[in-house]
Amino acid sequence: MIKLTKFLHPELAFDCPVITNQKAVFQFVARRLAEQRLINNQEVLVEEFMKREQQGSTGVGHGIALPHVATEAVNQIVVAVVRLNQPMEWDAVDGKPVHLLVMIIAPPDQRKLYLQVLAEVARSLNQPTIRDKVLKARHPAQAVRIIARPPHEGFIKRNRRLFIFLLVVAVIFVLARIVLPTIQLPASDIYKDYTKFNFAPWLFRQELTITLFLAMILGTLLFWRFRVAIAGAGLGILLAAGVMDLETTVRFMSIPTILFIMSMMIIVRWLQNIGVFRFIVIKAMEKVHGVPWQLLLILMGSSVILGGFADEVSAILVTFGLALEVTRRTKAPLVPYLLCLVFATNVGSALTLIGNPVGIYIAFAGKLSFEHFLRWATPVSAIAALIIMGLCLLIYRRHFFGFRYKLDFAELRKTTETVDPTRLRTGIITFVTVICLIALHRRIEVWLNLGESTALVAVALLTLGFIVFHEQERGRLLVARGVDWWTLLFFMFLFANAACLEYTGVTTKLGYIIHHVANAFTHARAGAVGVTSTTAVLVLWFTGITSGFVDNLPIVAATVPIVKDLIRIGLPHASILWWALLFGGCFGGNMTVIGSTANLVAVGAFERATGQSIRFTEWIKVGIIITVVSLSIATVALLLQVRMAP
Amino acid sequence: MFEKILYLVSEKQEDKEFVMKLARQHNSTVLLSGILHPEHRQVKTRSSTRDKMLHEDQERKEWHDIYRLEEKLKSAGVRSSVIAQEGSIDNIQMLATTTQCDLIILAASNLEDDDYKLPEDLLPNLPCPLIITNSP
Repeated sequence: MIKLTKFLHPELAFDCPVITNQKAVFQFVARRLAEQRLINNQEVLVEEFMKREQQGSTGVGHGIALPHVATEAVNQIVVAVVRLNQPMEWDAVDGKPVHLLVMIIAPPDQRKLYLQVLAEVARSLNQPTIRDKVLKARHPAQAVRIIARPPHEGFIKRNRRLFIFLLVVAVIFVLARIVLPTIQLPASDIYKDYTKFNFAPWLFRQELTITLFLAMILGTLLFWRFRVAIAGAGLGILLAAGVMDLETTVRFMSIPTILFIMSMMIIVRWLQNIGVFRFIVIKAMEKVHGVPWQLLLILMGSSVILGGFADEVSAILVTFGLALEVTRRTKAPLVPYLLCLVFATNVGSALTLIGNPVGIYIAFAGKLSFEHFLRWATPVSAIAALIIMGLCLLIYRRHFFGFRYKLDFAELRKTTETVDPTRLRTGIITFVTVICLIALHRRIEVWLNLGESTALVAVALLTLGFIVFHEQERGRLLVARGVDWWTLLFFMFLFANAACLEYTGVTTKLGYIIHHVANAFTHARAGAVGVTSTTAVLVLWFTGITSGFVDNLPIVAATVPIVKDLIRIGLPHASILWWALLFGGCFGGNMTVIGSTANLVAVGAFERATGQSIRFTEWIKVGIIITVVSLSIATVALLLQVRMAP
Repeated sequence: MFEKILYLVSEKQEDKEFVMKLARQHNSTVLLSGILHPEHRQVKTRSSTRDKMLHEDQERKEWHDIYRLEEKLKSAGVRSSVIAQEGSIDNIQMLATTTQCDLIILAASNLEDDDYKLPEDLLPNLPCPLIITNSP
């Protein structure tokens, strides 16, 4: 390994005055090097550099160029760092102007060392943190020092996120130790079986459970890649501390929910592989003949429907993929499509029981059927989706009105012509059959005298069996790759952690507080129904706002036991709270770029396609409007229907 | 036909020769980028000193390979430029878009850690054709 400090010296760092062409820059540097007697022929050096640039630009991107030559003009390796006071076009690979040159000149007989120096400089500048520091250096000599000896982050700085995490967890534990003993459940009729939660050992169990649960939420925010490890470790601590036994833990993992989500992942992946969703959306797009606003509405409508009847990730992958193709052909801006489609997908995912893991979890926890969703969730989500589609058109009107795309649909159609028609037909028939059977699951359960949600899981598993059998050799791959096992494992640990909040009485205490707060905010004349309405609004906006900043499923999983408890204590029409939770969890995801999985998937595709990233503020300024509007629609719907809820 | 060829540099000599031949035939500029293997991607975010040192050595070797190839291309009269950004399977699309290349060449060996599998949404969204070489 070579040391760059041997070759990079602060005295060979120059500020280049405003010069408008490459040759003038090279002449400037050659003159300065000649002054220090490092080169023996200025003209030859300039000529060699110019020849090198003609053989391909040395602009490596990110505002940096590495002109390098092997020439007789030097006797030893010379590295000069030049900062251009005026950024200059360098025909760099990324098309960006160059701010900084690191020029490497070597005698021909030191080719091996020359390549090593070049590689080491390139390696150093390839690291984004170093590159940023070099470009922001106050003077060229500082840039030299940074390239030659990149600052190594100390142990504390390197692990600062871990320290913040541990510190916050410790603070949470201390707060839990202080606050939880002060919340005393009364010995009234409602709570008489729960007064044990006021005393040891339950108090310590509550403190530990809530600390671990909040640590898991914080952990998923700070260390997303390690969310399974964090949730698994949390569960391990609960087991080791004797808070739960193994049998209870497995029961809390909500295996039926996991089985259903897993089966649906495979079904949707299979349909996506066949091209069913893409085929349907392209067919719909053909109808609008290149009118931009109609095309956007078709794509948003498809996102809503696929978000509701397939899943949010597949919906955004299909519709945003098509939007990419449209914008590539028409040169239309992609950001409006990105945001509009994500908003539509998130709102659409509340349409039915199967659109979002949040909906599935609520359905199983609240023993709600597909028909319940059709009655309570579909109309509100559909109205919210329609209003948001209009709002998006209004916000982005200048991108969609007053002109027409010259779009050749024959090319788009060609991509569906490669799809095997028999497989496509099988896929469409299976998709429609599964949706119909899932929609009728409660009736099937009554008819066959089965337990609640049994038919739901059975239909999903039967379809899974059919698909794997039908796909034969590919079936194995489909199961291995079609299921996001990582996420599924996280869900299992998360559900067990969340159910432990209920088991140790944390959610009973939280439910008690929420009930009191809702009472305090409700006018006396509104009565018990008024308390339910206030609670529903609180739940909706709390889950809505927090879901914008934290993964929505942990928030919903933690709130589910509270809702169960509020139903148990006899709050009238309390089942309305399930819908408040659903709308909050799904609609709130629109607020920020990290609000839902669909957002992250779409932004990833956007970055890969354009090489650009979307700013947090750019998202939130539209996201906040969409979230507030959709949550307001849900608020009105819930308040109007509260007396109709069981 | 291919004005700019984006080549994610692999260790295989046969691949390099193929790129050189193709670039000569089409009078193309070759854009050279390293490829970051999945295990190195993980190491980048870990703090183990040993892993980091191994990773740095691997990086040095890759950059050395890139510039050696650049020299070869230069002596063969092929225009070339180096990109200061390691490609990974996940950001090929982004690299192709920013460099506005007309062809991407990727070695199958670079897909080894991803089970020789490209991300599903990659091919339909690439702005240009992709050749996967499979040299012995």
